[in-house]
Amino acid sequence: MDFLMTDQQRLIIETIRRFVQDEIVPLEAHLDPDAFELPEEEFDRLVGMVKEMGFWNLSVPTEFGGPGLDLVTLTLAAEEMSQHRAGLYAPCYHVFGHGGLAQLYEANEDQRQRYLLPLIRGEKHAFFALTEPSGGSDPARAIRTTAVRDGDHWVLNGTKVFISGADQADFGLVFARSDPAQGRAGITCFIVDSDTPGFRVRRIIHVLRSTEYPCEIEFDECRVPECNVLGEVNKGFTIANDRLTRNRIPYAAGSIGVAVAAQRMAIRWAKQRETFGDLLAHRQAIQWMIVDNEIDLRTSRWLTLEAASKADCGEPFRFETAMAKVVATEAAGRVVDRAIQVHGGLGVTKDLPLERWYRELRIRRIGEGPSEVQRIIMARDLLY
Amino acid sequence: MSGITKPWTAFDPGGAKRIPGTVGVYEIGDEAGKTLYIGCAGGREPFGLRGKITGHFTGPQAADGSPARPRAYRYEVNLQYLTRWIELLTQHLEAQGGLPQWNERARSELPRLGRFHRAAGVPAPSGGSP
Repeated sequence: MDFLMTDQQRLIIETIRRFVQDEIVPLEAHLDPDAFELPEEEFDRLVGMVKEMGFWNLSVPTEFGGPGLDLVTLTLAAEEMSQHRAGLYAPCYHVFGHGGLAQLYEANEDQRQRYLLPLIRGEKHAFFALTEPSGGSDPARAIRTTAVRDGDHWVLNGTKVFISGADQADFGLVFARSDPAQGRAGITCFIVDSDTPGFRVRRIIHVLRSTEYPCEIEFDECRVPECNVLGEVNKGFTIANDRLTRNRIPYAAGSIGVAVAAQRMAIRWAKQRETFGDLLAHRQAIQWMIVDNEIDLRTSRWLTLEAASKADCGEPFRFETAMAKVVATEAAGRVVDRAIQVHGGLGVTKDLPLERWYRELRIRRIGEGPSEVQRIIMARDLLY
Repeated sequence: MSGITKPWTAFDPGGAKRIPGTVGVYEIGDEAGKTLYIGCAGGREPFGLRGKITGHFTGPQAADGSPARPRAYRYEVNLQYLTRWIELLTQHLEAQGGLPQWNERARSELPRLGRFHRAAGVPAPSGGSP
């Protein structure tokens, strides 16, 4: 495989890198260390800049007005966009656009007009509701939210947990069991407007993450029109699963990005901090931490780009994605942990972004399919 | 989570030293136990909750001539201060039909608030009189 960047990729990456350093990082000096959104006027200004650069909604396919970039380029971009304090869960505070929920690319023409295009334009916000109190790693069995047909409507009843942005959203994609006799072949995806009677946000769930807090939501006799079924009835699991697999690649890349930033800080600090009459950089204990960081970073990046490359080539990429997700998220946690150790007491203060990355990276070993589930995916390929 | 459930503490400058200097959320109340302000002490606040709460009783808000005078406070040490702040503000907004008076006056400092879609008549965040 050849991962030398093309000229176009290099231009994109260098532009994003400059943008993060010149526009995002200086703003963060004035924000709360746990901030996850920009003041409105700053957000609007930066979105204007991004649109002028032609970088708005990089992940959106050309048929929906985006540049239709390949996954390798998006992976490289995701690594750059996350290299700031809020970058893990709010890369560049979303001024490059959310790109929409990829599952909505399955929408029919009417749904595209009502939901997908306003989402891509940034006029609407959406949530993705798959996980339930009964579990999230095995949705085919865990989904207990029911959908029962009643005339030209479906009636939803049930509870979903860890649903990010549900209290802010205009609508959501909700996966419910439409055929109780089937496993994965009995799940349907519904587009549910947030103002539908019977839908409510039960609570905010406070977690380690400072950004995009999750909510618990419930559906109580919530009536959804037939025209809001996304894709086909009982085919919802496929919609969820295909896109979730693909999303794990930029998810891994975002983890690598903050680890790159942490490593940069660790190197800078080691070269300026003196202890017992010598620089930290001259201590073997510190040198080894820095080198181990670099090994973790390069291994993670290689595996993540390999997964992206296979996806771009139309080859099976589920195994490679699972491996990239495990390696990148676990390695990034180790890198940030070592960077904190290099910084000593300063590393655990809110003066530096390391403590936030440390907290938020812990979630990455669980979110989008925990490490253990990714290992199950790989074991199936290797053993069966 | 529910609202801040601690009882109100009447402000006295000597006792304020016992307010922790950590991050967290707090409420400022008037004589009748009505919440005037819901705030948070974030990671850049030099003296955390102590500095923020004390500021409401000694700063310009305390002497701005408004009929609503601060009399008491209550707080919650909370490392997830931003999401908890959003939760308290949203709960108040939906239960009372509006934000506390001082938050309304300082809307530009507020985070983006969502909706819980609660039915009308949901009780207000609990708490007694100062």
